[in-house]
Amino acid sequence: MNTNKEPELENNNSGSKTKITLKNITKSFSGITVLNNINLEFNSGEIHGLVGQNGAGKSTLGKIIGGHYKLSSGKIFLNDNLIKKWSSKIALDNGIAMIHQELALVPGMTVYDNIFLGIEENYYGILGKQNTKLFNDLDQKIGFNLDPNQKVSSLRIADQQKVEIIRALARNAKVIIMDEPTSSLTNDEVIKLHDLMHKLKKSGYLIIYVSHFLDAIIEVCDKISILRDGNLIRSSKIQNETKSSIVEAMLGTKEEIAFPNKKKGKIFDKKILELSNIKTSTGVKNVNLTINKGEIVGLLGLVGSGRTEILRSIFGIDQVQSGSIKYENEITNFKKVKDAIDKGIVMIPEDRRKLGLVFTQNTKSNISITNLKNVSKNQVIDSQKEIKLVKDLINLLDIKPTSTNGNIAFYSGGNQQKVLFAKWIFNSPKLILLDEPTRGIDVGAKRKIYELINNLSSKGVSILLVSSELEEVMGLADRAYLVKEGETINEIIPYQTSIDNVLFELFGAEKVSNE
Amino acid sequence: MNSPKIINFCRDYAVLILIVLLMIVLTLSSDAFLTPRNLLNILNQNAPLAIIACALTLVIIVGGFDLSTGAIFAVASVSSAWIAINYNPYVGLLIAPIIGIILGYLNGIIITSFKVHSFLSTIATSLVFRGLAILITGGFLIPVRMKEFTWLGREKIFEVHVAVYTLIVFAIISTFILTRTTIGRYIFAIGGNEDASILSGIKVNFIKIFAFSFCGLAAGIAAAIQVSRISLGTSQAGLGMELQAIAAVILGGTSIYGGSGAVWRSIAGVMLLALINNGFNILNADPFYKDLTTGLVIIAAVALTSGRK
Repeated sequence: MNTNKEPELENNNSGSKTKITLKNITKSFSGITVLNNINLEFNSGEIHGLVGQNGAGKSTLGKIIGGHYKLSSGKIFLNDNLIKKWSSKIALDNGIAMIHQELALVPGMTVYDNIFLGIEENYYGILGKQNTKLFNDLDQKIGFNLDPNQKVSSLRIADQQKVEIIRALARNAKVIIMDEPTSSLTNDEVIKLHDLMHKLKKSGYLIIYVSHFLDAIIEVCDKISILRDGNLIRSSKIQNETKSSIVEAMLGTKEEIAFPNKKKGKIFDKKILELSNIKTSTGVKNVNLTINKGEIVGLLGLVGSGRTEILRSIFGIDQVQSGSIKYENEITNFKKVKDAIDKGIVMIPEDRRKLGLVFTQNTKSNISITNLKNVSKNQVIDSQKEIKLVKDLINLLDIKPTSTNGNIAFYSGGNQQKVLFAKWIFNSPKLILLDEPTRGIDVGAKRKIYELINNLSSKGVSILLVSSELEEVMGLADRAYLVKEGETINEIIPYQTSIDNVLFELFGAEKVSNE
Repeated sequence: MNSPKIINFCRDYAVLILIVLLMIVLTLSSDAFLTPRNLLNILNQNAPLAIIACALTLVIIVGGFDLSTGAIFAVASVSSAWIAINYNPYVGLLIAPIIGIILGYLNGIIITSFKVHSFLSTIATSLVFRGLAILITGGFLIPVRMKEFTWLGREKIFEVHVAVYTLIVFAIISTFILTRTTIGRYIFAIGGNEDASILSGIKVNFIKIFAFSFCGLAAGIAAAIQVSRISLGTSQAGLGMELQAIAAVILGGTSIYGGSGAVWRSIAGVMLLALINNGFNILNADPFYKDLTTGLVIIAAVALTSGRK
């Protein structure tokens, strides 16, 4: 028999302290060392941040504690007891739950079933009734307002992340490892999550917070451990750190996080795309926007406001019900994605795992797939030509490892994103629809992507940019539209206004400070 | 109902719609069709296949494939007949499901411990099992003419064959497991996202082994019914049965990628195939067209259910 107990957020100080000690942890994947001799201690009642560039090993470290990866060598102690066998199941049984960056939910099941998957109330294997009260209590404490009977496949990524968070709480976990939990949450939701983390901490939970959002880390963490290239640089109290000291330690060299310089007031007058009063069945309505040649246009909106759906309707994934799309002075309505691609439009999607890359294929095949015509004669691929073009792109984008035969499944998030970029640039597009280009990647890689976006636009490529990181749109775009509930509500020139003003307008009356 | 709803409805109930259409056509064209006797006969004749299809549904939902059910059926048949003759007819009938479970369990062990796809490994084990059946019979047929043995396949209670009751009970048990137990929940979860299931602390291997053992059990029960009915053990029993069962499950709209499906759908799939067969018989139609028609119906049903997640 297996019954769920309601996790008590308020009074959990029953003396059951949890301590996790890592001794000389080393982890390598097929000969490549990703974690080198890590010694660390985590205690209950703290929020412990793990930061570092992508590929620094922060996610790997989280996954080792969560039992998802096996150690190559070293020891883990739980409350001073040496752990002999470790797996995600044993970790869960010991109250250690992990929220994964690449979400681990069953798409065809409901929110409720996913939350209680593996810990269903049952009587000798026979399922009990849905415990709505338990769900509601959990949901209300966090304030997520999820519908327990909705299918997970129909939820946005941000809502799926919420499901994962509730799931950890439902397991009565005392230790929660969060791997980039905020990467697709809106600011408002991030604030709620941070409130929740504080509450959990006060009730004696240990939270290990893996993130590349330094502001967030500084705001909520008590301790921070900085990793670089698989080594622990230092672990210290957050009071002893500043944003620049952290970045310095992460990068190894002192570097400013900044956007490439923009020529302000540049005039764009060659219209390439014009949407008027677009409406789709996916909730897009009254969308009016224009993009000129070589211009970067941003869409500013909260998660769920219909930004992605606008991109999809332009790209021919979702059909336009009314309104018109004018592309290169011709009224068009792409019925198929291929039509859009043939006209020089590409879309770089948000979810690179699901929609962007083929993980069973190597770097070269992933990059060249968009334009094999270019490198083949009579359907036979000229491999010399292909390799040359792919190599150029690998150098241009600084993809690491530099091998054309690399196994991208093991690349870091940032490098996967670069491969995805390379794939579409290979096709020399005229208009790029960019959805969350820097989701889950680190400072260094972001900087590269920004430069790339800027370079492309200076070469005359037009870009329509969607990002949940408002700074990104503000820093990169020449012009931006505010999107709310599927509609474009306003048009702004980013450098003439401030993030605060934009947020004020997007949230209505609710003024949210971002610092 | 707006149009997407109608499309969804068609997808969900394609197999039922086809069955109803076919029944109307057959009723109009022959007086012999819509009689309780004929309908019960169809059910009785197809009970073994339907039992296998029920359990195979679990295997396909978990993301697996079992191409060895026909061979398990053969081993169980010949063992059952051999024991009935040499030892005891009741023990003979009982041994078939036990052998089924053992062979299904073996399938599960091979799949989970060598991490091979079940499609491949069950092709291999089907050869092994079929070979085993040949060894048991030594290439001969094993006739069993005992009332104590043939009752399961031939007797009726209240005008309905024992086999039909067996099917009903088995279908209810399968449905119960799939929809009301943790095992069923995990079967859906593993088929839907295996990684997520592992991370949720589900014993994925155990669940897979369960599904294959259950499928073996079904093949064993089906074998007991069939061998008792024809009172003859033969190593060639159940040839091609695995494909019919798979066709029936897919016809019912269970996703071959796993993660969704239902037992009743698979039984409906079996019935649809059976109705086509029966239609040819009672209409005296040219049997040369039977396979062709069956194939076309499967394509039609699959086209209607495609796009299902």
